[in-house]
Amino acid sequence: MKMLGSRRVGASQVVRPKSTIFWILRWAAILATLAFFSFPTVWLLSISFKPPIEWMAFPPTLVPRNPTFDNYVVLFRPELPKGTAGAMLRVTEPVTKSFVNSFIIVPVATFISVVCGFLAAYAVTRFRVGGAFMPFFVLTTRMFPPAAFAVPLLLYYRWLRLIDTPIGLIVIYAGFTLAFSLWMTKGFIEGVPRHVEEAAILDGASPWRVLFTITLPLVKGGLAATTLFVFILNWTEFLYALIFTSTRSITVPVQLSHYVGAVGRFYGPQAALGVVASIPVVALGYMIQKYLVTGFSFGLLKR
Amino acid sequence: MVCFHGDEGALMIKEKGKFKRATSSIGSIANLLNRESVFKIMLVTPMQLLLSFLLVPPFAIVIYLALVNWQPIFGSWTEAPFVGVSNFVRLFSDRQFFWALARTVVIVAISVSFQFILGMALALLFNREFHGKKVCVSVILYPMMLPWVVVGFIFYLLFLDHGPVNYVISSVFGPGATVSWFSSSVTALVAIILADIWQWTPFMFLMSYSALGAVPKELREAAMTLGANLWQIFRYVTFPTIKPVVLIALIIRALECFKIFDLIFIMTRGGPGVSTESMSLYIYRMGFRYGQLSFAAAVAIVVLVAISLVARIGVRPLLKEEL
Amino acid sequence: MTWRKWVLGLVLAGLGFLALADPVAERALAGLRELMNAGVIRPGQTFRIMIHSGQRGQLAPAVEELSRLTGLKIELVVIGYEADIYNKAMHEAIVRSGDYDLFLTFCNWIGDMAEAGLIVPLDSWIKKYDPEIHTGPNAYVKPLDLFTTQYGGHYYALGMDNDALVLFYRKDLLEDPNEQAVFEARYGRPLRLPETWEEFDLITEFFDRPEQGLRGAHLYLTRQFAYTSWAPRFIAKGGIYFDPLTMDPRIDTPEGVEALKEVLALQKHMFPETYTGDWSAAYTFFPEGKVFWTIAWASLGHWASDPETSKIAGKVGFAQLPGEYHEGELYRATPHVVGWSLSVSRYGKAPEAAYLIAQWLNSPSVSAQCITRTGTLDPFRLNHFKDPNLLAAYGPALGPVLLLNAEQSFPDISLRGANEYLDVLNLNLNAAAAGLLTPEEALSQTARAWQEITDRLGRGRQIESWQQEILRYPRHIRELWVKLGKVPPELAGL
Repeated sequence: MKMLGSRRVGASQVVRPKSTIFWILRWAAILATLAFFSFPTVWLLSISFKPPIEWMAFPPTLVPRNPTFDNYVVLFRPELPKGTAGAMLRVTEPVTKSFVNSFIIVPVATFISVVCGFLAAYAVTRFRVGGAFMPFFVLTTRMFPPAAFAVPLLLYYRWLRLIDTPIGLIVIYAGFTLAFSLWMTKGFIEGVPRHVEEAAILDGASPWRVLFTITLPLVKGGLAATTLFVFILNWTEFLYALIFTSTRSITVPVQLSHYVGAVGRFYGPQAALGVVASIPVVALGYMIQKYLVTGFSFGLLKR
Repeated sequence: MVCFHGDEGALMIKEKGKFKRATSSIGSIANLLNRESVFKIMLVTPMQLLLSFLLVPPFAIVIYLALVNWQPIFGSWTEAPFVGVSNFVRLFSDRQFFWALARTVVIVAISVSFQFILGMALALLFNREFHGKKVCVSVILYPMMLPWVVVGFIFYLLFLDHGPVNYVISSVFGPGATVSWFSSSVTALVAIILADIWQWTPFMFLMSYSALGAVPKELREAAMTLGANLWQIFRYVTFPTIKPVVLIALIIRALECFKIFDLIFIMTRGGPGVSTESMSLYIYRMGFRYGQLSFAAAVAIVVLVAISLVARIGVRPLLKEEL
Repeated sequence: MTWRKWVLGLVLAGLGFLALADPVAERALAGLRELMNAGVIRPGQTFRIMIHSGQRGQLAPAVEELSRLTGLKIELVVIGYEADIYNKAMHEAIVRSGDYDLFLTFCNWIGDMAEAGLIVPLDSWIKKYDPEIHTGPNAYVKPLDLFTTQYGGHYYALGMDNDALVLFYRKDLLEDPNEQAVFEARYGRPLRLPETWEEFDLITEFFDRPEQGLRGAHLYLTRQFAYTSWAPRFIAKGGIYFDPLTMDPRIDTPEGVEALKEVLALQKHMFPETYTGDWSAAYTFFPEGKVFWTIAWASLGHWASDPETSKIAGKVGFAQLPGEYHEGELYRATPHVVGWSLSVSRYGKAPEAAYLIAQWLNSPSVSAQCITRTGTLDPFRLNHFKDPNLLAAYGPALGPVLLLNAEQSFPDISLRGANEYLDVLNLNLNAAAAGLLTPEEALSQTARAWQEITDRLGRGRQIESWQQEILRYPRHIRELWVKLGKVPPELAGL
């Protein structure tokens, strides 16, 4: 293996002039991409440090003229920012409750969704359970416009007494992301060669052991990506969170919508909360990166 | 020994008895659980339970609503008069519906194509180690992690007539080149599509990237030593391996993009007039703002049927047997 | 800034004392105590009020005080987007969960909420506890007492707000002798606060100086509030939304088209954000000194007068909206847009107690204190306009002008289906502002849509409701309608 690798390096060294151009082009492309992706983020950060008078000011300035921490402070201690602007910003409770709710609801719902989806994906891929219809039917749950489903679901939830409860939202989030979990892990499971599993079966392993000790490690990357994506979907979901909560179970996106007042939308605190709310997701994304490079090299060739 | 797919699509070994023998020595409950038929059922049961519990009763209500004439200001929903298909008839003569539908299709086509190409290209670019890669990947993934509302108002502020984008344009190309982005349908849609691309290319990137990580290195190296150039390697080695994942990601993203709502709501509210309304926004306006929940239910059912038909075609290659 | 906290503290401390001196509040408290003695409500019972986040700062201390006084637990449920308040209220009408006891909503939604069975008529309680809506030195400013409280001949809400729009202008520029000289030379008439919309347009043109970074005006043409720029001209010209006998729309008439053409002609003197932005654009441009004048809610008044948030503090003037002359008499009309009012949920556990909570919040003294803590609620009772603390918070010049504008204001469409009627009007006006429709097309398409809505909702009932709504318009407008033959005298309530 190593010899193969060094031969590769040797080959590229022979073709040096061409690879330098590629190298430059590649880095230019990476930098251009980074610029495109980071500019709005930088603008977001910029607004989160600006006082109200600068949010829509022109000519726009990247660095705030009078930077302030008030937008962040008002999230956690609304009573602290002083002055007229401070009084105007003081429109809702501290964000702690919404974070606690989100931290309970979202991970639980994500876990349920990914587990159920993964298991079902395995059944669909390996055993064709439900044939061609069932997985497609699951996918149709994502085709229905949420606004039209809200009131019927609301009626149902009223009957179940699940409105404004964490369980209620967990069930909704888990149920509506199942389609993702199933279809995304399905793709990754299909990338695992069957004969690896077959070999284990022939060795006498039960189906469960095959699933958890053979297949699962090989789709770690896919599971990590799926988990991250489902987590993000649930963490940032707004419409159903708004409709199905009133005071007890509000989540972070609903809290974000509260920063509106007599003079319009309060972009500063909304930006600040957007930044703060993204931190847990960024942390999760950073952690799963190591699972994404599985580099499947068993020395077995795919048929 | 021959391996083939039996009736249930399970892996069968010709000498059927061999399978049974492997598990006969374990206890009887474990025996039961390890039987393939039970195993299969147990795998899908949690999902089936969850979906049935959550979706079946409300969907029945949706169908009921579509067949009656009801608005909250008329009274109780259980006493609404039955009107058969008149909601559907009304829908098919509503020009705003067809415009919203067409507009949404265009948005999805353009936005998802760009996201796919950009995400795939980025994943290929990043498919090797280099300094600071983890940080770069985090920067690229960041847009996906922000709440929709935040992405919406960031791009709204960026594309305001006196916002940063016009500022940059006027600095580089002169004041006459600025565009009043939200004052016409086309330019507003450009801004909206850019926002969507910014927010969701990371998803295509993530999926492509993790799929690429599963491509066996040996195959690529073997192909390279055989003299294949980069494009050929991509076409014949990489792409077939990542195809299932990428195709699913594409379909999922297209389905999600079709329901685009928050971005447009925050940036233009569907304006000017209703010239940037997407399908979801149209349903929201009819159902929530105007309270015409019966009509909205009918629209949603039609949309569901239409998308199902289209998606069926796209999904078919994924449901075919794996060779 | 601690001195402000002291003032606030003193004000709060005086709350309980003042409440005793206020008979309306005292009756409410007495009523609550009676209900508690009778066992209808218990100590610690929770009551929830659905409000907009912009009012939380104003209402929270009052609600805490009332909780302390009565032993009840009164909570504010905050919602961010105004549209979502309507959505959640209608959902509550469908679901009937009983999670909310009071709703603080736009006053023109009361029709929908009443028809959906969500809110209860308040007639008997108003008679019993007398919140002094129409009579007494602390009564509501007329005609707001009719806008924010009634629908279909019954009382359904207690108003908490005054959203008559105000004309904010750059006093320093208008009163500058040099400017006045140049204006008079160019147009042959003095530069002064406008009486007619024609004068308004001339002054806008005069002060439109893009090269100096000053634009003529900022008028709303947004997807949400475009009608606020068109309606005052339309009404002042003698226009009426619907025919009083047949409910046919009367907006695609010469008055309507003229009004729209005038507004659109001003676009060359305004920023494009008038129709691409949202309503907060005025709150950015005017305090930055980038436009000469704007028409907006009273809250812009103190935002623009406070040196902390405005570059033109001290240079702001307040004026009445102009009107039109008919046969030598000037008829002004100001739109009253939004207007928050409190209504009582049918599905709460104790509607009468909820009503009493609303009456206490609505009482002259308590509401004065709430409104002094600035937010989305503006002064609506006569005593507010004499309250020194409140006037200090708003600026002494704003108070009288707000009162004048309120007296000449007309309501939003408040019928059943109000949201639909207004939204269709807005989207077509907004489209016209963006150049997608001609003024004639915009208004005729709206008229067609309005006919369809009326038919769908039942024309007979809509005619009844509209005839009642006509009676809520200020007297001078009704007189104008009779004079122009738009409304038969017997329906004008003169």
